[in-house]
Amino acid sequence: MTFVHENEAEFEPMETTVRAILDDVIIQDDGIAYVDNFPDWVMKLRKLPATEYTRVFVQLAVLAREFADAGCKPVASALAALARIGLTRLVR
Amino acid sequence: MASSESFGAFLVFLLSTKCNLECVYCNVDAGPHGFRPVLDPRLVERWLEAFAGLGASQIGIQFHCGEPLIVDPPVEIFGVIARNTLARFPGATLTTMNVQSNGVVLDDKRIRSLARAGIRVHLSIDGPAGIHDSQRPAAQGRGSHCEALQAHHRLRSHGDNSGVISVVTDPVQVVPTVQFFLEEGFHEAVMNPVRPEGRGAGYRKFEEPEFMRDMAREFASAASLIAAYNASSPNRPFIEHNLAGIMDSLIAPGSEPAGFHWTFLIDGKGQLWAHPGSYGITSRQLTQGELPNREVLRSALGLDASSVANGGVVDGLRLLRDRLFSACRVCKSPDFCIPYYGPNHEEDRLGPLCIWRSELTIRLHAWLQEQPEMARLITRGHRTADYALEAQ
Repeated sequence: MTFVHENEAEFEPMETTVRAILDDVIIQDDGIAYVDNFPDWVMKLRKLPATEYTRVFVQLAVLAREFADAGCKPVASALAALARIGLTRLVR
Repeated sequence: MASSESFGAFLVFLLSTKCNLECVYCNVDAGPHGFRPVLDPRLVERWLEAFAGLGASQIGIQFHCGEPLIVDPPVEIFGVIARNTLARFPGATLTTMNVQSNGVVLDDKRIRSLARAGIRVHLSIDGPAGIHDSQRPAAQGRGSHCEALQAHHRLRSHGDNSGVISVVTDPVQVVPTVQFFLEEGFHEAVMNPVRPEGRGAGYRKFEEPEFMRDMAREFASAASLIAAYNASSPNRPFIEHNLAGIMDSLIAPGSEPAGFHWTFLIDGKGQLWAHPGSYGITSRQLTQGELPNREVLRSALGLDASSVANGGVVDGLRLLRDRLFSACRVCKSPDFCIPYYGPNHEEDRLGPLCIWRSELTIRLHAWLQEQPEMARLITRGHRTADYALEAQ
């Protein structure tokens, strides 16, 4: 499974916030997968001006897609929800 | 010896009292005016962690308000928080997750968004326009029936014949409301007498025994209507869950679902209340501002550490429920014997809801004896309604 952050040379640099969220992704051997501190991330991202932090939300959406493609639906859904916090404001 | 019976919790989160309507009977005084905070999403996570950590094997969730579709953060985020939290607890199954909405802002885009978040929509519709609009107006006094019905049909166009909660404030409403649901092709509803709390506190006619006997008579008439409809539409039957529940208990006494189930309410400040008859009755408030976690929950439910460790949670919960809710000789179940409808623990006097239920049970029992095939047509069959647990 290849994620954006493992190939940074080929992609744009990962935003600090996105990296921190990724650090909170928990995937256990027994199949349990979730994003730790998820409500805290919700509250933090809601405070970010979407237009100034576009890359954060786009990168979250890209990551959500990659987790979905890798079959990790719980994490994909959580990251997609975080991405939508900003993306829905951007398209208004 | 401690029981290892399974424990199911239905958690109702009151996200806010913010609402785009001002229903005349609203028991939490919801409305559009003033500053109305929204429940901190972190508290939702903490309560879910606490219940799952205590060993609840089944957890159902309802997001209630106010109007949950107008809160910010959006209810879809609360849904993702719930799933993300319970993902850590493989022993806890999320049985249902829904919102109780008035439907006013529900468009196709929102329906898709809610479906994506795994949240089902239940609507509040009080019957035909004349009844609904008089009870569920917007702040300007305009009714909301048109929007509510549109929302129902939108949901149906997406393949979801939504569940409905209907509040009854007068016996004369019962039959017209059922007729409306049948004519409009609704699938199921739960019709509840108004709860005299908040703005509903003025409905004190419920304390008159004759009023509740009339209510029972009208519900029995409605049962006949439903049976006739279901006989002619066997593939698309209509279920009213109060009637169906009583009839089910008459046909097969003691056939309640396995395991111990209890509904709890978490208010807009994150405080835990025991259901039914919860909000507003001090003795039902189980926490007083503590930050929720498993230990706070254990303490709030009066469970000792050893019983939790030995899987004997249900025994402790039964003790607490018996202490908080003592059903009368007629109701036998605290789900119906609810003190906020009026006094009900005097030996020589039944409470209003107990009168309604006992009178209705007698009528349905007589009908079952006389016309068993018709009477059985109002039962649930395989269907259940998690929202039938809720009052309004």
